Amino acid sequence: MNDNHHHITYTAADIRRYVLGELSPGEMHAMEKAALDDPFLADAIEGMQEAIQTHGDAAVTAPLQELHSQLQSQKSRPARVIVFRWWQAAAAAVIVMAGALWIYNFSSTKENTTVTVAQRQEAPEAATTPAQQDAVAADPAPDKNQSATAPAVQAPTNQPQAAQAPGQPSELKAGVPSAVQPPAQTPAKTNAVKHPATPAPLEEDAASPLAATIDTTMKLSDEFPAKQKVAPKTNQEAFNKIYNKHARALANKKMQASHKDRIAEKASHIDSITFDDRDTEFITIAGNNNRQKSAVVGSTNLSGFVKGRVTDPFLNPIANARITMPNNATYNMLTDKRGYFELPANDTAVDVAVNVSGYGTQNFRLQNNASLNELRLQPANAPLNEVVTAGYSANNRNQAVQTNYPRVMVQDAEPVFGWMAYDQYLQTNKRHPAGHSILTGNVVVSFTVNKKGELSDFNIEQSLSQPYDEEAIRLISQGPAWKLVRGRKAKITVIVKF
Amino acid sequence: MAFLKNISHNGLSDKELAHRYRTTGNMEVLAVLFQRYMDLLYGVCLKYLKQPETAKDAVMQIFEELVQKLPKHEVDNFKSWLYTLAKNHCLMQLRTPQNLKTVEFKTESMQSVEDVHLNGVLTREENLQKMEHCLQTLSDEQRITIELFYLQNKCYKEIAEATGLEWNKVRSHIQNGRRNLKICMEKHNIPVAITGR
Repeated sequence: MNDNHHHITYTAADIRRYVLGELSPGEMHAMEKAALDDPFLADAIEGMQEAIQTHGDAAVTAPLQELHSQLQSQKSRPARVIVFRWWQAAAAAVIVMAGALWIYNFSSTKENTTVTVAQRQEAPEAATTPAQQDAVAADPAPDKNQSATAPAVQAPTNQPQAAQAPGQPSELKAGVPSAVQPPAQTPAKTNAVKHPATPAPLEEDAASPLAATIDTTMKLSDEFPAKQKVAPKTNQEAFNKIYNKHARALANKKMQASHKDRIAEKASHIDSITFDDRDTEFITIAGNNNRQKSAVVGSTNLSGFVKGRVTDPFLNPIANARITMPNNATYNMLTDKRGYFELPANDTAVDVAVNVSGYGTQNFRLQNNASLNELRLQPANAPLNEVVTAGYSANNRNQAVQTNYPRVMVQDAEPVFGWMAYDQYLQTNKRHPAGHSILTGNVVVSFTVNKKGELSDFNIEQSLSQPYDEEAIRLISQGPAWKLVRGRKAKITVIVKF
Repeated sequence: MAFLKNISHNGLSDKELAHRYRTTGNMEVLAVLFQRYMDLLYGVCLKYLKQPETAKDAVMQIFEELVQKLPKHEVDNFKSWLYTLAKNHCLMQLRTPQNLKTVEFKTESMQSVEDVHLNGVLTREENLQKMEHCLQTLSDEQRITIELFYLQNKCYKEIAEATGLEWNKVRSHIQNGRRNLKICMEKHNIPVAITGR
């Protein structure tokens, strides 16, 4: 018994000969012994045996020849790239995670936007903007802050809309993704066109405290700037469009919901307030009835209704605000508890007046084809203690305090209970220092908020007087807690108005 | 050049070729490996599928399966893995209803899958005593056939002629005898080499 036999790989020819009895007994024995140990061989022998007995030698061997020639052609098949499994898996995992993060971002910004700005009043772009600009330029009120600073600052004040462009992007920053509904396309385009110049400067401004956005939508703005940075003007349009579609869809849903909350009508007069759409996110003050606020919306579907939402300067919805149409005394309704309202209208643009205690009456021009008009009120009369300031022109309060700070600033942190509540806190708790003459003015304080919400590094950026400064610091340090919106610590600037 | 390549490939073991295919995806490597066993595969497919043409198709299908599966499995013993793959393929093909037919079960024509390799044992001097003893425990046919086969290296045909037993019976006697010997030897705590190929 030769162990060598175990290494022989028997071929079909061998088996055939075995079956046909062409092997010597010794050879046969060897094969049989091998077959005893190798089931593979055993089966093959059996198979060949039966087949040759049944079909004959030729029928069995012919297909095998074909197999061999076919195999030769297989050799020239292109190689299969199979390896790199592990890094393929790793790459796939990274892509999946990136995609998931993006979607998460996307959806979270979406939600925020629908809450805040239903539509971006991108503005009556081309046509209206120039007009507005003129009007604005003529507007004395806003001046205060205007003169100041960089375009970004001006944006808030709606002033020289030239700078608006910056405003626009910052609006977008305000996380008005939804707002970014490229209204009818052309307006959007014009907007986009204007932006080119601005995005860049704006971005830089955004970095500074001067950047303007609304606190409540800060989260969005956080996202937005990033996006804005990335998008060149043309991409902006595209991006806006996409964003708007989503926002619009969501806004539409909400509109349908609020549809049911229609209320009775009352009458009220209307002034016209005009202010640049671009600045919508800015709590532009003063807005004396000089500006025409146009709500520009993306969709072009006339629905027979003009929909809108009234919010305060901080984008909080205002319920029970009275909506009337100056041109049509029959319509008079209140906004629902989420600030929504709907007026039947067949014109493409509708003027409405919004009346709410504390804000007086403010006029807006709404677009009929918009999915949602956003009517952000300016605090006309309310002597609010501006946390973020910029002088109130309408208030006749001390505008003497000319700060270079925009009304609302992009901040990386916000009060846990919101700016409104913080405002109220400051107003209720501020005390004029004893023993000193009563002063009015603003104290601008900057400080750092860390991850735990602890405040530190108080700095007086703008002083009123020593005791007032101290009072301001006291107010802040003993005030409501802060939470970070972005990053691990934030430098916050608060304007305390006395 | 291809000729030279073939030569070099032929020198490699199954495992090396398989690994080479796994890393490079080179079809030629796979073809060479496959070629070594294609004949046996054909025979096996013949056994299960009966028809030569069907068997040929099956062999090509198995090759395709190989192309897909070899990269995914770390195969230690390529030959037995391929054998199992082929058997499964054939059995799956046989599962179609029209192929189900009952056949009489003949125990004597059954070949058992033997994993026992007694050759090594049989040649070990020190175990010959035990072997002698165990051989006696076998039935006559089994003992005779085994002795003729292993000790005299007779092939089945010769044994059949010598004993007058039928060829199939000779084979099954030898297989059963082997198994019994193995059991007997192990009972006496003698390790019996097992080969599974």
